[in-house]
Amino acid sequence: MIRGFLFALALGILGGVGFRAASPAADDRVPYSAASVARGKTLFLQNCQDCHGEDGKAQGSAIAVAPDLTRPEVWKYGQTDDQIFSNIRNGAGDNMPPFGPLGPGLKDAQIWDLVNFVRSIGPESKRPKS
Amino acid sequence: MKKSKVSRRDFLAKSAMGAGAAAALGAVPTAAAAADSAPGMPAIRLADEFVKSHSEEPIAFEFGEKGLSGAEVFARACKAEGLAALFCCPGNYTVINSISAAGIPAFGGRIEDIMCAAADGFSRITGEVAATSGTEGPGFTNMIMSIASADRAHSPILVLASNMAMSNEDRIGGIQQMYQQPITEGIKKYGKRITIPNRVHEYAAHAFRQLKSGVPGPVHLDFASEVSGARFKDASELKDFYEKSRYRTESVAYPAAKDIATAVEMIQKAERPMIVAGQGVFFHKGWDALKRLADKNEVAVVESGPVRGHFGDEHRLSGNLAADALGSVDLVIFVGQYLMPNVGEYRFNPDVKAIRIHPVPEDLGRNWPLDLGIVSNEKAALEALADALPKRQRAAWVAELAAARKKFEDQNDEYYALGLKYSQQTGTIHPAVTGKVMADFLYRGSIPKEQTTYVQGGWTGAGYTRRWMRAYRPGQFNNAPYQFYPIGPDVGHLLGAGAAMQLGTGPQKAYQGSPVFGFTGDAGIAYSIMEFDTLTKYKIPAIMTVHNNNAWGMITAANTVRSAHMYLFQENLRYDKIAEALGARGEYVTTPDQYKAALQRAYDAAARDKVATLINVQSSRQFLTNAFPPGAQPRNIEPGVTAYSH
Repeated sequence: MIRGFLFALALGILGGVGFRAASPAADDRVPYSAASVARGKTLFLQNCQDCHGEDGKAQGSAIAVAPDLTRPEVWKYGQTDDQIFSNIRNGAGDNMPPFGPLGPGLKDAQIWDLVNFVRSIGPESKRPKS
Repeated sequence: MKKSKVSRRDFLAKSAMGAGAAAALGAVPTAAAAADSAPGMPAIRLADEFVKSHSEEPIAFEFGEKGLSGAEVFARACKAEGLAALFCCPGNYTVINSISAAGIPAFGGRIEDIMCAAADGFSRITGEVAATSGTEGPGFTNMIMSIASADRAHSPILVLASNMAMSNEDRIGGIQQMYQQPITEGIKKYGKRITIPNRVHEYAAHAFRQLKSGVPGPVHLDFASEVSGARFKDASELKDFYEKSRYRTESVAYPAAKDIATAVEMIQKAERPMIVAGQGVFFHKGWDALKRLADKNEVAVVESGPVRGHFGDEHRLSGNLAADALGSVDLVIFVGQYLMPNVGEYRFNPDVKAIRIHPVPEDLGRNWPLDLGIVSNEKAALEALADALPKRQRAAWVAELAAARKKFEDQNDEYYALGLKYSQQTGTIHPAVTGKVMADFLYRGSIPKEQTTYVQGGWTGAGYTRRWMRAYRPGQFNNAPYQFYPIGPDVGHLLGAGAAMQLGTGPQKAYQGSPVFGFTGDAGIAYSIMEFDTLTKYKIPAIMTVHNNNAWGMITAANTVRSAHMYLFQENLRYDKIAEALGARGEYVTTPDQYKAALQRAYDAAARDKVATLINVQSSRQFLTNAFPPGAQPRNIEPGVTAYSH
């Protein structure tokens, strides 16, 4: 049974690889701005607050143990804009689900809005100048 | 162990002595038990007394030479109010005995909390008041999870529990004593410990006034034994002994003319208006008015809440599957949405113009900023709007809804294709496949698609099956864990639904006797599997699919190797065998074809023999991970078919 499970898991991991997307093209990036942050906030409330909380601090834990998005130092899967984008679009680790084509179907521009919103609630030192 | 000397023939002969309702219950050994009992071992069977107890004529409680007890006075009031059913475990003896004797359908089960969930499940799909009861301390405290769940669902259930004698207050003498009312603080609409014997009828009136007026919710009464055991020679000994026509009213709030005029103006200005039709539309029977309004002015309708079907999923104006259209809505009209979402929890634009129609003013403006609040009974407001709005066509909006529905169905097909691939890879069944197979069986096979009342429980598997399961008529779909999201009482909800179908209560009348279907997880089934005894005992034809992925759904929260063991079960557990041991049928399946065949066998047994079945669908917890995208989070948004939190 264990053997069967490991085989199944291996198949699953291999099967999953095909859904990983490459890094986004640089020209898709949405610049940091108040308008983008506002759009990102709406998307965040609609897609992210169940796990990360309304304020991004993930203080509720009924559904998932999610990281505090206001503290980049506790993030496990990278802190750069491209890494945040990829984590949202394609998922991260076993449990951060994809929100791109295989998740809620967010467009790349929307995901950049989310990246900008996440930056807006994080430390000012990591926030791009608008 | 003493061997049984009762043969099947003897048993049938004895049970033939029962009459009336007893015949309907069918005094025979359960099919599964009869087939499987080993030679020389006693078969699982119903006691003769069980059959006989259903053959006794109900009592019309009236004051006579002997007078009435407090419990009988209360049962009389319940009967007069049309209390639709009682789901209980022993305890509160004088009250439950009197309610049953009065002829109110009563179901005795195994676990108080699950019987409370059964009352909630019954009420949700019938719109009628159901009661639940348990013993003083332990039985009552066992109910708390399902009382809270019913409170969030705004179900009008009557929670009854016996309580200590007043003469024992503050002494902790004997056993099971506690103060109940503080424990239900915040999870009830109204509650009272009844301590003055001659006010028992008065408090029954209080209870039903709350249960049948305004916004529904649980009512909790506990009876000091001096109250239930008191005796009254005649009505003059009781305070405020009025009949229901004098202690409450059927009158409801009607919308102000100026509010309807403003709403009509806003709807006419909007290009893409949508009504969110919550459970209040169902409870106040507003579905015909809702359809008339929607059709007349081509206003879209999306359902949400604990019960669905009052608009239906296949109507051309339904937004239930039109997830991508929600963002285009320029006017949202909340009607009967008793538990308001926060902005963002529903996929509308946060700046969307909003109207809310609610039976009482106190909640208007909560959580979601309003452009117009209307105090009105839901049906009255929908009728007023349907009358006042002109005929109008919104071709672009209707086309957008249709395109969004197609996109949703296409994504379902994508998930199914992925799930089928994953199922073949692992030798287990992905929940997207479970949902598709179940939906094909219920809606695209030989069963009329409107027939089957469905209970959606579970957590991780439900993320997929909700996408597939449909509602075509009022009260067809119970979103069991709605909002409070208790894991586990799903068999209770199935029992409640099955009882409603057996009795043909409310809108279920047209499908009386039909089997009911449910879905739960392997975490959930552990809480309520013992009620397969109750399902079997009362010959309720129920079929529960168990998504068995060998773990708590929150295995995803185990963020270290060291912590994982706390989230895991033994693998490949045989819940089907437990069902068999309780006299029901069990099926264990590991492929989609096996599941399809098991559904047919289960349905045949349910329809023919009124036997319940548990189908144990072996799945894998790995489907929750990103190794099998989309993992635990398929594209689910609210409101609509995938809603569970509001």
